[in-house]
Amino acid sequence: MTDISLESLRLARNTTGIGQHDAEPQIDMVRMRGYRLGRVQKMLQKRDLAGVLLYDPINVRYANGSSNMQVWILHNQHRYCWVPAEGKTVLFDYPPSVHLAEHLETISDIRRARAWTYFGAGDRYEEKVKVWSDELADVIRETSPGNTRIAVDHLDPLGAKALEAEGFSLHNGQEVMERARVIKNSDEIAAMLISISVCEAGMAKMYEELRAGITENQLWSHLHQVNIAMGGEWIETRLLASGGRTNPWFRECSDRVIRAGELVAFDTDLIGPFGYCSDVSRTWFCGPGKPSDEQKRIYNYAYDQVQTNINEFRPGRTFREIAESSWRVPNEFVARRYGSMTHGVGMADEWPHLTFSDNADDSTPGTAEVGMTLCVESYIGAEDGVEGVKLEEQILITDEGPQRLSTFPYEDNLLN
Amino acid sequence: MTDRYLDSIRLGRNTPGMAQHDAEPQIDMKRMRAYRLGRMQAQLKRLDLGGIILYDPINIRYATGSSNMQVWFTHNPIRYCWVPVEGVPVLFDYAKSMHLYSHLETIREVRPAIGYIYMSASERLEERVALWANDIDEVMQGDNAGKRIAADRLDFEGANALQEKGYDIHSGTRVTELARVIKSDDEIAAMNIAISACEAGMAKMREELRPGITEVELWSHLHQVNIALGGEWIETRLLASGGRTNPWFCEASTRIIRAGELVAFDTDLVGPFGYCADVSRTYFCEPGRPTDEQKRLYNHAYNQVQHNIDMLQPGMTFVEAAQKSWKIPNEFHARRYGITAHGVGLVDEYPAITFTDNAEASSTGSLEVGMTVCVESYIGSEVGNEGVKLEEQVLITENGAARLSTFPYEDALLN
Repeated sequence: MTDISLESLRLARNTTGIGQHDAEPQIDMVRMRGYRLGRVQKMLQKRDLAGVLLYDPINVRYANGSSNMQVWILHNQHRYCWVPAEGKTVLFDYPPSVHLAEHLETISDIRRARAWTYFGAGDRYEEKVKVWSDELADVIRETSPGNTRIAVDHLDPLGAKALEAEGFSLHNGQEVMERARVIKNSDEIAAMLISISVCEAGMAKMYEELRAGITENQLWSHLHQVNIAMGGEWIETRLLASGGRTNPWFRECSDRVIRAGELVAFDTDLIGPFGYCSDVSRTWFCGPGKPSDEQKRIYNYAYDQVQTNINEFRPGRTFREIAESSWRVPNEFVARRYGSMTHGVGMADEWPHLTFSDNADDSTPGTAEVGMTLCVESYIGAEDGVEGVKLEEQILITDEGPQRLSTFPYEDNLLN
Repeated sequence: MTDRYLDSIRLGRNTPGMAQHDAEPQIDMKRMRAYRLGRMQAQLKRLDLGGIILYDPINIRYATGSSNMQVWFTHNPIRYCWVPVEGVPVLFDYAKSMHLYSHLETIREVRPAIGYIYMSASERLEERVALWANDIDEVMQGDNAGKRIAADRLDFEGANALQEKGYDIHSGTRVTELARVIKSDDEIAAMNIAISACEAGMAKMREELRPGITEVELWSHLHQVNIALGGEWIETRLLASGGRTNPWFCEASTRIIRAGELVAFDTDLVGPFGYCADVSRTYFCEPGRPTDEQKRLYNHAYNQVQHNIDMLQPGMTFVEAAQKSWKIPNEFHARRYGITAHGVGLVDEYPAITFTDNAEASSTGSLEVGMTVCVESYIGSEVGNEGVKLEEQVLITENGAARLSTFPYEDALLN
């Protein structure tokens, strides 16, 4: 059993408030936007790119601080942004909402987005894509004269072809954005801590509501309610399962009625206030009754895995080294273990991706650095087992080692 | 209440239950899946395509009935599906969740997905793209798909790799949108249940509305009720109060709602079975009574929605529908909604119908029986303080529009 050091809780215990105080420390939003745009442009300059065309609304928000119907825009390519290697961004916003981001100092120009999805364009999509690329090419040439190397985060074949026809070469924009997003400044950490406070408030509400007879969906609804009420935005998945649905992992919540004596496991995957992600997992026991020895056994394995692996994150170690020395998953749990040992987190799940002691080479190349935020994962469930346990903690790498950003208590009745 | 109105709510009033009864009418999930896959393959055949690669999780659900961490996969393209013009699709699922859909008759094989997003592929991106292309090429060749294929969303690295193998990649959203546009009875029943969940959340918000509640606190109840009743997510956060209702499109904030203000919202809710319930209403926050100006705006919006529901008839082109739509008074022209009506199904869908003065900008095509459409209104003046948003979801039948959403309007604002 690994104990949690008091020192590693210091940051979380000092999470700032979310309201408009006049005398308390505040997140400096202008500084946060400036820092993030600066990170993107540094990556662009290093790669001699003219800029990056962004369609992923999470990338757009990172680069210029604007947010607009994020989930809808995720699957409707009706809003995009051009980030030149120097200077301010040009936002092509969803046309009826061009008034929303006018005040942002990170944006030089807001234009009406030109969509060429079949939804809007119908059979005229080829004509519309031409209008789109003509305008975009002008903007790129104006803001980044002489450089035809551009990056894109996501772009469908029709658009890619049109930009190539304009004389541009396309490069991987996900790499630019992931490398930019990976190191957080203190404003981002403060925003993330507030997001986690909201997430843990929702978890506490679920904890209070858990009783025999509630359905998985009813229980999960409280996490949504608390998140939204406190300014959070959406939840990426619906990963709450009970009883036998906890093994194997990855069944999403259903109208299954939870019974006394069962384990209930969940993974929040929550996008909270400011668009920062809180990705925390816990497993609870539904009373009345007492956990079985088998339930305790798998819970303790999961707990050990998470605590051991958190302590591996010291700056300067490569991801591969950390994976190699990570907690060795016992054979009976290898087949159903989680997909990664640890992954990056920021405005959603992010780079990097770390694997396990026996496949450490599959980890992404790179090194743990101060300012990285990560989620340390565990899933423990045997192939012939009935239930499984999911635990996960969100941490920050500092000079002194890992700081715990999530601090929700573990279950005494399962831990010993 | 006209006879026409009473007739138009017949379907909504007969929404079935959603639990496992043994003797009540049920949605036939297998029949619904077969219908949807058949629609997609009919489009592939019509367009002479060998098949389609799907990345949008909403399209994958339409084609196969499988659903997996839908919002997460929307921005992490590492789960995809191959739908051949004939035969049964192959699902490339996230490797750790391949156990989820082996039971579906619409999937002949679940293979581990090969992702090439930078988050996981990192410096091995090129190697992963090649692996991806070889793997899916093998599957497509096995189906004798030929080289004319479609893709709904595909990053340029993948598109380039397939083009090097001789594939000619065509618009996939043309296939998926045209497939999804006509709904079966099972789909309508699923959509009606989604609307019941949505309207339950709207009722809860109406009950919770009082001075002092913030916009986000009010909005949280729609989320809670939707999820508790088996719904899945909400696409936007469009609830605004007081001055934030004009212009439209401000999302919910921590603004404290005051007595005497309008509160307007657009649900954009993805409910049970993944069907969308896209309904808008505007409430008045009591105590107090609405002003004449608030009532004036509300009545304009009400008239716009009712007029536009009544004029929808099968056989009209979308351009004709736009031409026959309610003429928006000049003062509300600048801030009107983006469109008069749009398709709806698993989410917002094709077509888009515009206004009298820009009717030609509507989608190409005609209204057909079985289409489901959301009829929109936003009324707010450039010199006004507040605005009104209303919206109804309807089904096109032989007799015109049947109302799927039936939530009451506000008596205090209507007259």
